[in-house]
Amino acid sequence: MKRVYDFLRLRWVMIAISLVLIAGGLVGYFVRGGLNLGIDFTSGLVEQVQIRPGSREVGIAEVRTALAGIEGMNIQGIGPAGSQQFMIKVLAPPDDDSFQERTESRILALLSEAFGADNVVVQQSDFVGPRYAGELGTQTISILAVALALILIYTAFRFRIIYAGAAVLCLVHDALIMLGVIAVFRVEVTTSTVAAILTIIGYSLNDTIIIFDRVRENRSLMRDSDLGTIINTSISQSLSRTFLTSLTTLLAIVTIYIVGTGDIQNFAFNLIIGIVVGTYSTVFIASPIALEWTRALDRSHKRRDIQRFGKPAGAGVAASAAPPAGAAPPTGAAPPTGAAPPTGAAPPTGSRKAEGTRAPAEEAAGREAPAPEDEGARPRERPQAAPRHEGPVQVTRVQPSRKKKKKHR
Amino acid sequence: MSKRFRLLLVLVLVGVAFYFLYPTISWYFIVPESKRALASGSRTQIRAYAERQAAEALQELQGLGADESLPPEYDFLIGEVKDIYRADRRPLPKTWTIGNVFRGFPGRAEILVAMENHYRQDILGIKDLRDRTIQLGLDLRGGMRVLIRADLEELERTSGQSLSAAEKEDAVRRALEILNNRIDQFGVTEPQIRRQGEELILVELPGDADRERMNRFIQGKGILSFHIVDNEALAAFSDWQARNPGQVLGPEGQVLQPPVLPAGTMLRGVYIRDEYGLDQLRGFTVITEEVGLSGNYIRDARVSSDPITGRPVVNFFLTSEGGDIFYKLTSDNVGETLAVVLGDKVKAQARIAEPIRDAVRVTGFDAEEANDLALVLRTGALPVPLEVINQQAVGASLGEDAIRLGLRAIIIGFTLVVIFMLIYYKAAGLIADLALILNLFFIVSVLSVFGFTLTLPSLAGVVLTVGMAVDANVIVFERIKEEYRVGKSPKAAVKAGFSKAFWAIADSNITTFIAALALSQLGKGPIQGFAVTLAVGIVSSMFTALFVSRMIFDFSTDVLKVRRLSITWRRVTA
Repeated sequence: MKRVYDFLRLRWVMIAISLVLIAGGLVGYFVRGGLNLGIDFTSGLVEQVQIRPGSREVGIAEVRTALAGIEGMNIQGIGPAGSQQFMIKVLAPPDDDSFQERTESRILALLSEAFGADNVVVQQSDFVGPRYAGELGTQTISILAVALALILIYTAFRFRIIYAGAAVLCLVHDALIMLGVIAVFRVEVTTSTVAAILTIIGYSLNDTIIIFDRVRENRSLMRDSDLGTIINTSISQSLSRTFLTSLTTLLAIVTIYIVGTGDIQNFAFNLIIGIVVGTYSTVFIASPIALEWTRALDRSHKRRDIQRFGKPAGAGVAASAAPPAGAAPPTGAAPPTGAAPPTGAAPPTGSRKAEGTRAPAEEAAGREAPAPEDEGARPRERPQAAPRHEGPVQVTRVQPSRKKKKKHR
Repeated sequence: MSKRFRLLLVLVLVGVAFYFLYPTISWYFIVPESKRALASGSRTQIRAYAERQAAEALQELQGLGADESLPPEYDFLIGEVKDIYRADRRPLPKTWTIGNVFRGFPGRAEILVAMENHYRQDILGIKDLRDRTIQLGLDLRGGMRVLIRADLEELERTSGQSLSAAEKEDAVRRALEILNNRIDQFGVTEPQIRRQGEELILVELPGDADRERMNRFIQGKGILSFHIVDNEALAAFSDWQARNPGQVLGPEGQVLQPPVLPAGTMLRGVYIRDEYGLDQLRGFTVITEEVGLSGNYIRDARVSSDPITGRPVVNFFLTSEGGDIFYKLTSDNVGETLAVVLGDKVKAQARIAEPIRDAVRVTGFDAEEANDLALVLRTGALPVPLEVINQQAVGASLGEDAIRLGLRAIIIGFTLVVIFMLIYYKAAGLIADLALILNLFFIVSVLSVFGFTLTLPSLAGVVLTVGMAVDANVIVFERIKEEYRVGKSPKAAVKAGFSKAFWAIADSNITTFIAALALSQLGKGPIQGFAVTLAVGIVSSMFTALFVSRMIFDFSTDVLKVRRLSITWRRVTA
């Protein structure tokens, strides 16, 4: 039997930390003057120079060294081998009119110093636009919205709408924190940054779904436990997997970060942040959101029931909150008080009601009722409790619940 | 599924993957550098090479004695000669001496043709190979830098009004976008396309970009048009040509306009693609100057192949307005000849049998030309005419050190994952590693079909995808361990582990796959490229992690009958 850790106890602290991180990123974004856009997204200067062949042999490495002082510079050899022509690209800072002139003279000065003024020929110098104008960012966001909507539909279909919503919120959380870190640390934003964020969204989604899948499985195995216990159990059971996958992925990326340079190092940095945030959010953010959301829904149901029937949810109404077939989660049957601690025992009235109402639902689904307190979640071990015998009265009580169930979802 | 069938399926897939990957392996590791350079050159250069090579070879053979045996590098001639001997019902000579080979051919010219064919096919085959290989990106290997000018004056002239700065700006911007769509169809080509100054577009393409193809990418839709052939004027021209031979073509091979042509008609050359993919003048025709239907009315174009001849056929689908124009044109000219004009070359002619409204089938293009034409016609009209003003090779944008370190980092990272799995999961880790490597192999081979361009970050991304794919194995293994600890037999533990992990893995992957599909359909450029890679990675990793590893597990429990699962270091008390 694996130990069950209480991950949910700190949920408000964790949610607060996340909100602080997101807010911090937002502040950082504005304080730092937006993102540090790379040459993919900004305009710049393209200059073609030639070190006169025959004067002396100059390789690209020497030119790179000579121009090392220029920030945001990229250099490529151009033309036939031995022609000693080079293409230099330099990022333009925003709103700097004198940039072109200044950079041109600086390049010329540095090259002349290194190779002799007579040997340097500037063949062409021009201002170039960004590879992707602003549209790549906005396009990515709008497409991502569509993708998230599709994810929402699929997860809602496979799980429940609340879990789907929690998963998607969790992804937005990850992306926001990543962007915040990128803004605060002034990491250069290139197309691989976009790829990194998308990778992390996929990774975190995977992580979250794996845990929700376990929650779904445990919901039918641990019917007498409240949702908090089920979630804690599920996270604990998946913990070794969550840890191992993060570890293997980090193993690869940290190596790239340490050994690599430049763009690929930035890429690795973004991913390291993303993996850490993604793993954290899976454990500490997604599940609490699902839990609180479910509880809030229960509370609002209860209020509505009081309005409608003049009393807290009766047996038949409580049953309505529980899906009649299949998963029969304890959500509807959760203590109506709502404020009960997640791991604490359910108030007696609550559990009595729950028992009374769950049985017909199971009967209708033709399933065995699980033994109470079966936290073990060992699926093979069939619960020993015999199915309760229910009269036809209870079966009819299920009927209205089916209709109402749709409204809840 | 029986184990044998599963093994067969895996082997077939490995075979298919190898088939896709073969061009890449062959291009980078087998084809010699000199031939690679030749294959990257233009078709005119290839023709010159094949002709020169054939002439030199013939000279060499003639220089040797007739009794000497044929040098082995000319063995390709023997097959050809055998066929000729058989066709003539002549007995095959015992030894293939140069004399015997030469006697097989009717004359010297035929030997030359046979040799030229051989050298041509050799290089063109390599050229085809190149289109199916993984390219190295601008950062790793450099490529081609093309400077394109947007001809704004021409735009002003044709539209008859002066354009404001904003309009010019907009025209160039849209031209740039269309160019991007044409060059980077799947988002995996990694070109760099930027505006340079006012009216220039700077395109950097990875690899040895084909100069002729670049020219085709910048064509406007109006490049294609349909004209009616003027038979009377054509007869008059033939008459004139017979009396004045050698006056039709100008000094540079351009078609001149002879004085006998009536007003409103023009003389055009009819061209056919030769074996090199070069246009060869095959005759002349006189068409009406008035455009019957402009290519601007083409809504879509698709390439298929003729079921009988197997030659490529381009199917044009017209807009409704274009359909009306074309219907009127064809119904007014039933029985006349319709010419398909590309630029100033007549590519095909056909008799109009009946009125046509919205779909036109045209033959007369070779496959590459047809595909490029279809692409150009599909991807919106260029708002402004473009011309290439400069093309140059560019070197890698990353320094050698950066490339070396980057590659080393990626290799070490990948190796660490492999080693970690092996240590942590023992023998089961070996299975995971096998699945991992197979996964990498599948992903790379599928991406090569898309003409994937490998940059350093994308290489890191692929390796990362594979690294993350261990996740599926980890989920399964952790489940197997759980089952095993409860005291199940290895076989039962494996079975339960896989079946319980299945939906968790499937759900998480399907969700990501949905996102990847959405991104690949809606996104452009790097986003699309990323999504394609992701989608391929998901399918491949699910297959390797669930199907292939399961197969190996089953093999070890059923065939090798292992008593204990080697999956954890912890003692398992049964």
